[in-house]
Amino acid sequence: MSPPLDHQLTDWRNHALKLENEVKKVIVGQDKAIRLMNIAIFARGHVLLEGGVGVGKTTLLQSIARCIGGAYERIEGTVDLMPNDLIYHTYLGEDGRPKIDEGPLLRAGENLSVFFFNEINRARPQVHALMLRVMAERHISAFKKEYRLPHMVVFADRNQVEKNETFEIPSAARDRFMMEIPIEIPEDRELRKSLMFNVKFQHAENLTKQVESNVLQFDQLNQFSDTLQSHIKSSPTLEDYAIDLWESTQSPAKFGIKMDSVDVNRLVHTGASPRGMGMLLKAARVNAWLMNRDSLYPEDIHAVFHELIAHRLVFNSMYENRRTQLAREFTTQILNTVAVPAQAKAA
Amino acid sequence: MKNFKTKCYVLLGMFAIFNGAIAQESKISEAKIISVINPLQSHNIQVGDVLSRKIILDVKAPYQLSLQTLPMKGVRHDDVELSQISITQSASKEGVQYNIDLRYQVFSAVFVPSVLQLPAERFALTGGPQALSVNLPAWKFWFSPLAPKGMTKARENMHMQFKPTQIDLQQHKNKLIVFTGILIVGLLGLVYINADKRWLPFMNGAFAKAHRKLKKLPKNAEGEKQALSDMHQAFNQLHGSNLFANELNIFLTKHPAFVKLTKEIEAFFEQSNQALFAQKTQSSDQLMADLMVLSRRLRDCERGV
Repeated sequence: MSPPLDHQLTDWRNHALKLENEVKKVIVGQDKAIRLMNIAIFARGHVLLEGGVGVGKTTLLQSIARCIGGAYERIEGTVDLMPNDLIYHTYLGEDGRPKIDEGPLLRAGENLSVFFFNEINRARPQVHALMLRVMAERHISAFKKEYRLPHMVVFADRNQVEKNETFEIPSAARDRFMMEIPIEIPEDRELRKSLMFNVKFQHAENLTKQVESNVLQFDQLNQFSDTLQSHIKSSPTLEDYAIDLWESTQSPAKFGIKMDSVDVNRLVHTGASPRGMGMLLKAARVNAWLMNRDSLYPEDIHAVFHELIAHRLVFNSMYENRRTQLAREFTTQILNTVAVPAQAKAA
Repeated sequence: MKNFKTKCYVLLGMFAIFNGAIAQESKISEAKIISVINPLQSHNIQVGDVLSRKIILDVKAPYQLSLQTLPMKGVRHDDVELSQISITQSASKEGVQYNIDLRYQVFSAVFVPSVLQLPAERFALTGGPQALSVNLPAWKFWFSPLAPKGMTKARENMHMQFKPTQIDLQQHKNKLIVFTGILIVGLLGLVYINADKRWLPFMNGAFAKAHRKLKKLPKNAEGEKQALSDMHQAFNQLHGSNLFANELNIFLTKHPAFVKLTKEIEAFFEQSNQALFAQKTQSSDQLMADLMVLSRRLRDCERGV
C-alpha cells in the first residue's frame, strides 16, 4: 500500500531539496543550474549543457548521478565516433579471440540513470540520430534482444563557441532535449578565489565522493513524476498565459515584443513546438512542487522559460551566429511584455 | 477791593470746576449704567406712539437712587411727554440695582418729518458723602406726521437725501482676498488628494486610472478578475515591463515612494496568485473592497501625498 499523496509529495520534495544541498556542497556558484537539473530529473527530461571547458560540468553531473543512484555512463563526442560505438565495442580476449561487449549505452541495462554525452556536437549526425531515438523511445534493439532504458536521463554538452569540426544539432533534434542549461563561470570574486585556491576543488573525484549517494530512488522517479504532474493544477488564466507565451514565440510582433539589436519580425523563423510547450509546463509543474504549491504560477513558467524555449527557437540564418545572446534577449522580452492576466481576455 | 473780588470769583469758578470734576469721577466709580434699551426703531414714529427706555443702573452702597428727584410723570419736552415711570430694585451687599422703565408718548403735531428726542435724564444719588448723579443721554428719532398739512405736492415734503458715511472696507477686502486664497489652495489640495478625475497635473498616474476603473466594476467573479487585471496593468505600466512577485524588490528600489506599502503590495500579489492561479474561492466583496483601498493608497503614493 502506497503512502498518502501528501506524504509522498513531501517526502520526495525533501529528497529533492537534499539532492540540491548535497550537490551545492561541492559545486559552487551554480545554484540555478543545479535547481534546473533537479527540475529536469523530476520532469524526466533530457538536458543539453552549454558551457566552456573546465567549468565543472562533469563534476556536477557525476555528483548528481551519485545522488540519483543507478549507473552513470559517459561517452566523448568525436568526429570519428560512430553509432555502433554507443552499442558495443570489440576487443581481444585473454584467449586471443575477438570478443564483443556491450557499449556504454547498454552496459548498465535498466540501471542506467544518467548518460553523459560530452561534446555532442563533435559527433556525426548518424550518432545524433541514434542517440535521439534512444532518448525518445528509451529502448533499443541489439544483440537480438531489446534493451530497455526506462530510467535514463541524457545530459549532453555542447560548446557553442568553438565551431571547427562540429556538426550543428538540427532543430528537430534539439527539440528532444527538455532544457539547455548554461553552465557559466561564477561572477562572484570570492567564489572564483575559492575555486582557484581551495585545494578541495582540485580533485574532482574526491569532491564527488563527498556527495551522499542514492538520495533518490532512481527506479521510482518515473512513477513519482507522473503522480506529481497530475497533482499540480493550472487555472484557465494561467493556461491562457501559456498559450500567449507560445504564440509570442511564433508571432512576436503581435504581442508588441521589440528588441534593441534586431528587427524581431526578421529574427524568428519558427517558434516553440507543441512538444516544447508541453515540456515547459511539465518543468513548471515540478518547480511549483519544489516551491511547495499545488497550483502553477507564472513564476514557475518564468523559472524555466529561457532554458526550455531558447534552444527550440529557429532563427533566420543571418542571426544564428549570435544565437546565445539573441535568444536570451528574446525570451526576456517575451516575459517582460506578455501580460498576465491578459487584458483583452480579462475584459 | 474790586481786584480782590475779581480774584475771589476766579477762585470760586476754579473751585466749582474742580468740584465738578470730582463729582464726575465719583459718578463713574460709584454708579454705573449697566444697560440702556432704547426703542428698536428710530424712524416712522407718529403722534400718539409710546416709546420705552429701560435702564439698568448699579449703585454702590452707601449711595442710592434719590426717588424724590426722579423725572416727573407728565413732564413734556419738545412734544414728548413722560407718560409713565416705574422702578424696581434689588439689593445686594455691594449696593442696589435699579431697573428703571421710562415710557414716553409723542404728541408732536408738526406736518413735516422732523427729529425729536427722548430727553436726557439725570438721576441723582443720595446717602453718600458727595452729591453724585448719573446722566442718561437723549435718544433721537425721526417723527413722521400722519398727513401733510393741506393738499401739497409730495415733493415739498421730501427731504434731502444724505449720502451715508462710507465705512473703510479695505481691511476687510484684504482679509477676504487672503482667506479666499487659503480656501482655494485648501480646496485644490483636497481635490488633488481625493479627486478621481484627471484634470489636474500628475493626476493621470497608473494607479489613479486603476482606481477609477475599479470603482466602476461589479462585485462578482468577472469584476474581480478585471480588477486584478487592472491592478497588475498599473504595476506593469509603472515598472516598464511585467511585474511579478519575485521582482518586487527591484520595483521598490526603482520606486521608493511605494516602500511604505511593501507588505500590502506583497499581500496583493499573493492574493492575486491565489485568485487567478490557485483558484481559491474568496469573497468577491471583500477582495474588491481590499483592492479599492489598496489602489487608493497606491494612488496617494503615486501623487506623493
